[in-house]
Amino acid sequence: MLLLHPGVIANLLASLIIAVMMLYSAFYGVQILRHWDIESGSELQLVLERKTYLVSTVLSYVFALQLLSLFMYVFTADNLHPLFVGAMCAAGTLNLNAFGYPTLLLKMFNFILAGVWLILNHADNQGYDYPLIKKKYALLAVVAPLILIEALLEFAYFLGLRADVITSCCGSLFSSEQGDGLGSDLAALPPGPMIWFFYGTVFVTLASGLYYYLRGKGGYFYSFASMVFFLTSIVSIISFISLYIYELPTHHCPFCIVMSEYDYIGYLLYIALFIAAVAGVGIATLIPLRGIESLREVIPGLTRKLTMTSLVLFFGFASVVTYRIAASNLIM
Amino acid sequence: MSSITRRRCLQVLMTTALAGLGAFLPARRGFAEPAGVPVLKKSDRCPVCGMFVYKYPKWVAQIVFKDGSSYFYDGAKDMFKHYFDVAKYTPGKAASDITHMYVTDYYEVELIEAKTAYYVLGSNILGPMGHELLPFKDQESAQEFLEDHRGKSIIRFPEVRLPLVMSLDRRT
Repeated sequence: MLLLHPGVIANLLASLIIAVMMLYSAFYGVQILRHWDIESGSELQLVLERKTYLVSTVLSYVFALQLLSLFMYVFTADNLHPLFVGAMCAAGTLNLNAFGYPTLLLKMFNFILAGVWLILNHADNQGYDYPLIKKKYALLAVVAPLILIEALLEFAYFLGLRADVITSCCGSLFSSEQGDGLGSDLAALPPGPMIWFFYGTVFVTLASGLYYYLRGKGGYFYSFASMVFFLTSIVSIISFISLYIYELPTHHCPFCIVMSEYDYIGYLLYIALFIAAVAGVGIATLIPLRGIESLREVIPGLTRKLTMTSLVLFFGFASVVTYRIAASNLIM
Repeated sequence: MSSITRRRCLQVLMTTALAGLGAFLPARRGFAEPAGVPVLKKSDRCPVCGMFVYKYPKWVAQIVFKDGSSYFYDGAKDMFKHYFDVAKYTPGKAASDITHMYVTDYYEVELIEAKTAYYVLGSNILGPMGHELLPFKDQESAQEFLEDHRGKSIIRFPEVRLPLVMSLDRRT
């Protein structure tokens, strides 16, 4: 019955398209990894050179869909919650069977990998001699199996949804007292010290990013800092940001904030956070490639763009959070 | 000509808007049963679980404090959780500050006094948060429900204890 839900159809269809396209691309990806030789004029090399244009175009669309699918998945889970007893938001729906949360985590991980692949592909297209061709297909060889596993998990999740199961609501999944599971552990982090840690991370990340942008030094550090910022922010959302948004002293759920009743502020925060994280990781991916002859001119411009993008998004995230804390009626 | 059509348009819009409002008002009045008690708003959330209560009008429960503040719940279960630990969910308040407690009668779908209600346990009817204490205003309707829906027992307000409330959170 749930198979007819438009959100479920969209998710499964997207996942199917991604998986099939991934298999097709990975097939040529492996051939390129094994037989690519730019010096050669063999028939195979000519075929591969033509194929790589098709494959990388296909992949750039497929990975863009992959990025979108993370939010589509959360949106659908949130949308389905009225159908299940005990679920009041995506947290409860994802908890309905054992595949909900693993799918989400893998989707988050694949989001970052897909983003990095798109950055590599973009850089590769700027060079005239396919400078990153082996690297980008090596990354594809890592991503493709993960995406296939994700597709399997997602099918197992949606096909395994049963309406007669009572699920737990986010109030108990992310409760600071019922200390079983990661959600509760994160919710139990003391808000006071967490606020200081969060703003410390904001300061260090923004400062190191600006320094890198202006002086061109400390790129790896900024890239690392942006990963720390990303993780700290997700923990902070559960630990204290959610409390100020909901204005409830015990409600730590990271999913309720995506609901329309909270003006979809969750999507704003998460989209900023994930894109900034991809840009941050992208910097450390590109820096070691600046020595490549055909990319010598391109890489510095790209890393500067990525730095600016992530800085603006991190700053935006921190500003929105600070505004919500300042404007909140909750006093702690 | 065009101004006439515009005016017609506005008239139709206004009528529709008024009719919409009219349809909306009596529906709201349903929750304002006891006089002088705050009415459920769309923005009210259960302080225990964070759920928006307006989505589950059949299950509304309410606590009113003596300072006039009022909290809504998506079921009697969460109301009791708040009642047994007032300071946790509403820091600065105590159980002694509570002036009124209401639950929604399952059959009549109207607010009734929580302290005089009859609660059916163990039935096959689930609330938005799973197993519930189903409130009824009198012994007869509670008994009738118990028989129709395989309830296990009927209890009164003083018999409701925290361990019992927490035991309702089991998942099967």
